[in-house]
Amino acid sequence: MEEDNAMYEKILIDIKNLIRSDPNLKDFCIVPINENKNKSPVLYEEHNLGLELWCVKYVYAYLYKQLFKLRRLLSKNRLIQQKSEEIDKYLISALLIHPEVATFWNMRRELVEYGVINLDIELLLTKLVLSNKSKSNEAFAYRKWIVSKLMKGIYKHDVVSTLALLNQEFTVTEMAAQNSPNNYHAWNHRMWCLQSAFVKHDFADTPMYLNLVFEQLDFSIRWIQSHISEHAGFHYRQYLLKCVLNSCCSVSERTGKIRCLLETFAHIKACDDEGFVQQLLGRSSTCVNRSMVNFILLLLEDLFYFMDQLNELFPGHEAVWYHRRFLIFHILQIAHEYHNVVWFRNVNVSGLMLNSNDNIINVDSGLSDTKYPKLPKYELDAVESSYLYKILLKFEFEHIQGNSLSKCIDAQRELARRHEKWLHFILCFNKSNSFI
Amino acid sequence: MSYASRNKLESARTQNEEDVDVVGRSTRHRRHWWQTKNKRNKRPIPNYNSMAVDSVRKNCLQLTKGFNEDDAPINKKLPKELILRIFSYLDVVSLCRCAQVSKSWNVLALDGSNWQRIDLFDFQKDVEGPIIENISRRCGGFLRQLSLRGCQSIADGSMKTLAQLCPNVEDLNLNGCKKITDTTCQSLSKHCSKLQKLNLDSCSAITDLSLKSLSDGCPQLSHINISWCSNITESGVEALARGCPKLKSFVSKGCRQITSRAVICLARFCENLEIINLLGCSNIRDEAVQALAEKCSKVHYLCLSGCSKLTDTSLIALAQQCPFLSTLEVAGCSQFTDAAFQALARSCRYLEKMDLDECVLITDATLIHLSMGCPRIEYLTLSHCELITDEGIRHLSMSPCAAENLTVLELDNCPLVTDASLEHLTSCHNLQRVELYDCQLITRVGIRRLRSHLPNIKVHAYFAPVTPPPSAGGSRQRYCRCCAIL
Repeated sequence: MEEDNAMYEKILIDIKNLIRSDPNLKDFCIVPINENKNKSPVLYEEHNLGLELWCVKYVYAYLYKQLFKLRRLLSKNRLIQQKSEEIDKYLISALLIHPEVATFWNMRRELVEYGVINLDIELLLTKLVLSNKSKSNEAFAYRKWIVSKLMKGIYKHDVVSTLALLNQEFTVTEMAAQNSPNNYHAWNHRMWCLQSAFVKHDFADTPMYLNLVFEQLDFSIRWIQSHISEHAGFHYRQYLLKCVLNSCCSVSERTGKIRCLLETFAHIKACDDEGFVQQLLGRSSTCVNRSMVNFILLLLEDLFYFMDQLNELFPGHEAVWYHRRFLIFHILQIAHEYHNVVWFRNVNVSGLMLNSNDNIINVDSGLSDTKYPKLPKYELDAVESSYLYKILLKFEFEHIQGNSLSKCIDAQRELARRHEKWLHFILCFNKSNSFI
Repeated sequence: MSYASRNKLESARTQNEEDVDVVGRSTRHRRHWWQTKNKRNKRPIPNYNSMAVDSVRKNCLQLTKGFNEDDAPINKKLPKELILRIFSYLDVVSLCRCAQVSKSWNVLALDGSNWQRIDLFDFQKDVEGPIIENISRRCGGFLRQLSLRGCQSIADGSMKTLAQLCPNVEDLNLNGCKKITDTTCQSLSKHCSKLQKLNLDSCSAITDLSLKSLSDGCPQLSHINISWCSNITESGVEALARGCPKLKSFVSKGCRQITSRAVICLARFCENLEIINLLGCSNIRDEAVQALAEKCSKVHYLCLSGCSKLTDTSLIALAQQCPFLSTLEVAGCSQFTDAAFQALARSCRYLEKMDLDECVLITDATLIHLSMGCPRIEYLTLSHCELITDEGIRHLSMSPCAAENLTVLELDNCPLVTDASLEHLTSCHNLQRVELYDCQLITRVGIRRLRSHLPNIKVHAYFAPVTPPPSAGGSRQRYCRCCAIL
């Protein structure tokens, strides 16, 4: 028994020393080796850490026993220095093996509070835990706690350190999101970090803010292109797009590029961004916010450019169509805000009911048009009479038609049909309105 | 001693009178008398007005007069000197308990003469500045030995008070008091000229200034430990060596800035050195060890682990000049070869403990020489000596040391060692621990055979335990009680 304990202690010390000595550790995993040949079960290669499977159950049982023996003393802060360091050693391995135990994380929090361990090691440890179990909520919660502690230590005007910290978090969350699909916790953590950096420095009106958001937008499009069916990536993009609304800055070299791109789609020419939006939406009754202009441009870029691309490359993915809905909805919403009018969406519920029973709608033949009850004519408001609205209608119906052709795959056709329904009943788009 | 202290007692009583009440109250709450006063004040104060309090106190005084003090039978039988003498055998906790018994015992228990040697290691989290000031006020000149190991909240201010009030301190342990700076050492050198032993392990703020002031004011210094004080350089050590010629023990683990020159100075001025620990002083070269060997022939403990620039010349010099060497730690000195150990084994016959971790060049020849020349070896570390084979272990096991003295043998990461070695080791009757981590030719069968010969031996290797581990959450009954009855 005593000999076994000595072995466990040696394994634990090895792990702790490796973590202490190599700040560039990348990865931890439990290596499925059941053979036991008097060889150290702690593996270390090219900044990766591994633990052989055969020892895991014994080591964990030992850790568990030791930790719960010392827990009470720790919570009362009655431990002498040496014992605290011992606990640190136990906790490192316990959390690497089994990060779901919130008690262990809490013990670690206590150690941080008592000043036994410093925060950099904690970032490394949570990173290793996340490399093994990417969806561990406890690990993310702990990391949030550490990051908020680190942020508190940064001076208010020291944006550079915050950006460095953010970058570190971005790499970790990207790794976690890579490792397991639909990693809600990782994306949430990413957004939380961005949000808390914004709150901390309150730098929404500096170009740095928009640059950061644009950088992330670029990242997200890259991510989406390689993870097309994950809605998490789209959700992050939507969050970023909304972030643009907070800043009244102008980043003309970036938005100018977008404008040039959009001008070819819309067949209009303008000398600056505001002028372009004015041409699209008409003259606003109130003064126009720069943030709105940025937002509209970005939404339109997504809709006309990226969505088209994605749709062609990856047909039949629901997430793409959902993002499309988000874009159209927000374009209309912001257009109403632009004109300062209330958006009445007279959703035709009865029509919806009627149609949901009716399961055969042939879009190509245009039969469905006759089936819908005629909507009462009402006067077009400023948005509906704008040039943008017309383009949108035209573009969307062309898009649906393009994707309902018989050469498309079934899933894509079905999605196109659903999209048309959504347009029709939620946004009240009518084909008859598209008279261009 | 008791008479001398009695006089002190009589005078001390009047000034301590007011403390008695306070101390009695505080100790009831498991606090010791040396704890801070403001903690006491946190207790809720009863809502009497001052008049009532006065009358209560008067009544109490009248009441207690009858029972207290000299009327208690034990106090009648035993004179104060004897009680004091008895108290002098008690430890900190018992003394504090006795101090709660009565006023007279309080005075006796807290008398400075009982507090000559204090170790506060067990209370390291509670010890703060005011406590040290209280202690120094109470103990005064009585204090000889004080250990504040691990008391991290101690700072210069309280240490200054201590140095002023307790000039007779001889042994001071400040291991891990990280807030301490040169100011402490300066006040120590000013007031405590009798200081003999000083431990500054891990006081990372200490610099050469400390050593210089110590060398000025503490000529009696015989033991010093400046491990992990990474700011210390050769000039500090040189000053220390000049000022403290009585130095017997010098421990400076992990002081990377210590150079050969510093060690040569030490050797030149402190010829009485017996214990030298230079672990991790990686700048040291052969000339330093040669000077040590030449001047300090009484050395019996020498640690040169991690001084990787040393070569055989060092060991040969040691072998020629220091015949009384009993402990030699040279882990990580990877340039040492068999020739040096041959010389060492020939002349240093009293070697008991040897740490040869990572001396990668040594072969079985070293083991053969050691087994012939050093009959007293108890503790031998050969970790990472990758050239060691079964043959070397066989010679070791046949030597006179193996049969009687050898208790610990560390062979981890020696890839050539096989089960045959374990077979040889069965003749070492005193062997208590063998380390075999990462020796991949060792099998479970070999270990089992060794155990059957030496039943009390501890064999450390990476083998999963045969018995399943006890379930982590404690065993739970499989059936509920009623099911078991049914």
